[in-house]
Amino acid sequence: MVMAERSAHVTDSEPVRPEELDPIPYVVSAETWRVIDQGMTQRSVLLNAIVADLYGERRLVREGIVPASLLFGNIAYQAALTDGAQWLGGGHITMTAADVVRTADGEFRVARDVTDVATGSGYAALYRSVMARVFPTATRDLSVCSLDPWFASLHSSFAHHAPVGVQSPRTVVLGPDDDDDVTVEASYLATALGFHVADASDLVVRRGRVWLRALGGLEPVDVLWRRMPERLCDSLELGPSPSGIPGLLQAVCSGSVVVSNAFGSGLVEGQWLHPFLEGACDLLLGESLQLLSLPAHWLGHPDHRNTVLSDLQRFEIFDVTGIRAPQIVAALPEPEIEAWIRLAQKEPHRFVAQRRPECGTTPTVFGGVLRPLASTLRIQAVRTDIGVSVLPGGVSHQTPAAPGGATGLGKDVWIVGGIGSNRSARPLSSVAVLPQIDLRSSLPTRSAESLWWLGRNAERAEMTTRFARVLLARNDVDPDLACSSWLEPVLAGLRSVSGGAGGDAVLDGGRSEQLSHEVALALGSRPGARADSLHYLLWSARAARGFLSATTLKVLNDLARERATLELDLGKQDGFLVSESLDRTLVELTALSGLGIDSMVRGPAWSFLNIGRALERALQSINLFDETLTVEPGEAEPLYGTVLAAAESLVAYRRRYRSDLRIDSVVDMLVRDVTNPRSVVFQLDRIAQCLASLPENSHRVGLAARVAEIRALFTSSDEHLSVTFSAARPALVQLIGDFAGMWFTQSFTQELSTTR
Amino acid sequence: MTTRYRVIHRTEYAYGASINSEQTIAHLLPRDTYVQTVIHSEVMCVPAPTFRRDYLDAFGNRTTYWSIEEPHDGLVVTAMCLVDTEVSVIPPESPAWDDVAWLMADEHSTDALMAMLCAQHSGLAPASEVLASYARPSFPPRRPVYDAVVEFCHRLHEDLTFVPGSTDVTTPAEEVLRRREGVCQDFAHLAIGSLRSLGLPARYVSGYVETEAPEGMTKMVGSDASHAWFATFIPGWGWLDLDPTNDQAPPERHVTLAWGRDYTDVAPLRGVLFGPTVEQRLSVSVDVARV
Repeated sequence: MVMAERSAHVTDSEPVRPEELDPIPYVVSAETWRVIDQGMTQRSVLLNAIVADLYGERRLVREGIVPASLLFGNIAYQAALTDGAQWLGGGHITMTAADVVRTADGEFRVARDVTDVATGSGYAALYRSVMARVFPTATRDLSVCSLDPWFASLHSSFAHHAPVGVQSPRTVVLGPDDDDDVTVEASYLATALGFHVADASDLVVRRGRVWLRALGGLEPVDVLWRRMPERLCDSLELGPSPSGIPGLLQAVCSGSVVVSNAFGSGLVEGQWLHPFLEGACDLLLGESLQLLSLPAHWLGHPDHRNTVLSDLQRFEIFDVTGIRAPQIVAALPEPEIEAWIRLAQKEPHRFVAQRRPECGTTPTVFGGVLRPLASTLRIQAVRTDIGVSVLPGGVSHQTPAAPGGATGLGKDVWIVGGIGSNRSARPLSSVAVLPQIDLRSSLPTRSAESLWWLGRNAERAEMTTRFARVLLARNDVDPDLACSSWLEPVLAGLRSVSGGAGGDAVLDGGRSEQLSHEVALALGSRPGARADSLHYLLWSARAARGFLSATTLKVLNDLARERATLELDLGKQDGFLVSESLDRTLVELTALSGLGIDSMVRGPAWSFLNIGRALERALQSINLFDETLTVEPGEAEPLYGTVLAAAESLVAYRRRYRSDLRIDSVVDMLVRDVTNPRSVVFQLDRIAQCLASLPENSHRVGLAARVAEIRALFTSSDEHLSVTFSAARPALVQLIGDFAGMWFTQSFTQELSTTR
Repeated sequence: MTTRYRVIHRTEYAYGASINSEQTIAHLLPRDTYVQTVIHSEVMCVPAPTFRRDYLDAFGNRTTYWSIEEPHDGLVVTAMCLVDTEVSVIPPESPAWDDVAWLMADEHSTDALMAMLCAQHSGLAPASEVLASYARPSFPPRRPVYDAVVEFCHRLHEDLTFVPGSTDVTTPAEEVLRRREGVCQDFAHLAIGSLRSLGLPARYVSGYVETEAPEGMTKMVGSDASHAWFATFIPGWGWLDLDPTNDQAPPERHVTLAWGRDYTDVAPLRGVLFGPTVEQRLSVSVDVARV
């Protein structure tokens, strides 16, 4: 169920990391939780104060609490942010997270602070929705603390952190393109909170502001919710990055956009500050630290160095320069341990050692049996206008070994017994109404392009799938099919709609072998064939997921699975299994098409999806009909019957004409009929309609005129059909290219950048 | 004695093709120092920027950010300034070099904090054992740091040959040491890396030297382009500039633009171009004259 919930947010065939949910929740009493809640609140305030100080006044360094070499030699230290306008202007670590373990003596201790991109809250929401479905009564009867008010606070924090003077900030989520885990979460949260998820290529800095590339031009962005590590965000100033938005830091410093978490937040991530946190809390807040960290030592201090070196196996070693990965040095081979000790004595200031905890365990279903596994809680906090709010719950990672190893099982964290306390203590803060991008009139360019490709690939996949299914069905009922004279044009038609070239599929064997061979090719992964179209369909759906309904995403997920199933069945060469799989694929593709009609708001997004579909259907129809309807038929009935069935018009034909299949009527039905949603002319009318609803654009009228010209070829010409097709096809291909060039080129220009 | 200099620094890029837009960060405006007062300064570019922002960077350098948001196939940047410079003084006495590390950690001034930052490795001037052993003969135990760095600067000048075009901005210090040749920037990076290898602070300084020698003086090396040298921190006194290319400590007839950990922090022009990939052809001219 987690996979289903999760895959509703990523639709791709790539295997995703199995983050399994343990059915046994991690239960904490409200009383115990209060300690964590207060400790996390203080920690969020403290970490904010530390970043502001280390990039500003640096009292912590001057007063000797944080060693300068540890700060300045730190890989997370960004000199470009020093004395930066954003911290003076009130930048914040809006979201902080911490990995907390319960030690053998029952105390909660922080193993790691997560401040750059505080992940985990999306998984918490996801796990909770699954658990609430599996144990509806348990969650209710135990009064498990609800997560909803916290997400409402998260939402309102974006209004609160907007640039000065902006009343209704437009918030965009900046997600990484390549990290599946963060993407799932960003997309889950964005959907829940109603924000648009962009990647760096959707955004651009112009005139010192951040803009979203949209069809109507550039749309200003006020708040950027960063789910991308800060060092990757701006290749101009924050370090080399193939992605990122050059100039972003300049825009932040100009005060036109607020990035959340603010740049600089990454400095306090990890463990390196843990030896000094108590001192820092004392100096900056005048309080003592409530939620302590696991014991940690800086090796630059001779006493601490001796403590660590004399008892190495009890410590995990972190190198602030980032040159060496975190490691348990004692577990290395002997010569490497010695080499490390020499290094640690020569450059001790680089290293911080953290005591490995003897973690508390909780019962977990592991490998089919109940086992005690070590738990690490991921706790979340968000800064809002009314203070820090800690997520009452979260995720627990269950690991067989020590914490730090990320993969394992996940648990939903339940806070129970807090009726009247935790729930009512924090009233739902009023959520400001945030008008986001008005999708009735505008659309991010890359989303428009993805939707267009989604339409085109869905259509292509549907066409090849249906055609293959029709042929296999005919083969089943008509064993002589392979010897029939009309098969040749049909196979040519199949090739032409599935990216095949004439003749590349001719086998030496009999025609029966050739039939199944050609069907397999049309279903395979050559460019333009079914598997290939499905691949691009899923890929474009992933990029356009923000515009698709939850049901649509589930259908896409089923399609992804079916794609894999069919590949296996094709390998087994079992006709029955293949037909079954094709049927399921067809149902899903049809469902996708129906959902497009039924669950999408009519606007530019819908228009682009539909134009893509209509363009592809018109082109594929012309390809198919040119091979099948323009030749002298040997046997008219089976040839036209197959073509009508492949174009999903056979039943309609029979009902309308109640006659034999005659070429005039077939052509009328499949080419010129303005009421048949499968006819060529119908596609052109659909394109014209959708074009008319798109935002004003200098080329729009020209395109509409060209669509009308192509339509006229079919309606007003007495030429032979093959002449019409040979005039219409190049015009349509040209139109497809120009359409893309005109609407989408903007999204390509960013990709090429040269640094100086 | 005050000397007034006028600097005209012209940089011309030809892209060979039209690009759509660019964003640039420039360090071309001189800063005030203990011995330098800026009378007038400006930086102009053609085509004219769509957006421009002038600010002080993390090191207090005057920095200009601009974007050009229309198609263009080249860029001409002209920086002009008028500065008054005084002759630098030298520290009357200085602590032993092996005490510098803890003395600067103990001194809580802004200069000392900068020194702590500049004692760390940086991309173009990393510390290494090779560099440490190269520097060590000038740094016997307890030698006053001023005497040690001045001698080290002199040794660099003797050991290295100034060969224009022999290196580029990414040549590592150890490579420069092996080849024993380079340009002013390499002299500076080698010096900085060596001092850091001994635990001493060192920073990169960019600027200019006088183009034509006045009567009776020698023409300076590195005068037809922007110049670079280094500085080290002397606890209780401040930063001392040294120019290994011209063997001057402190340098004379110099104009300071900016400083940082290495060249990357103070590159005169750094940027991102959007559009087709282009071959950038660069020409630079610098004129520094007494007025």
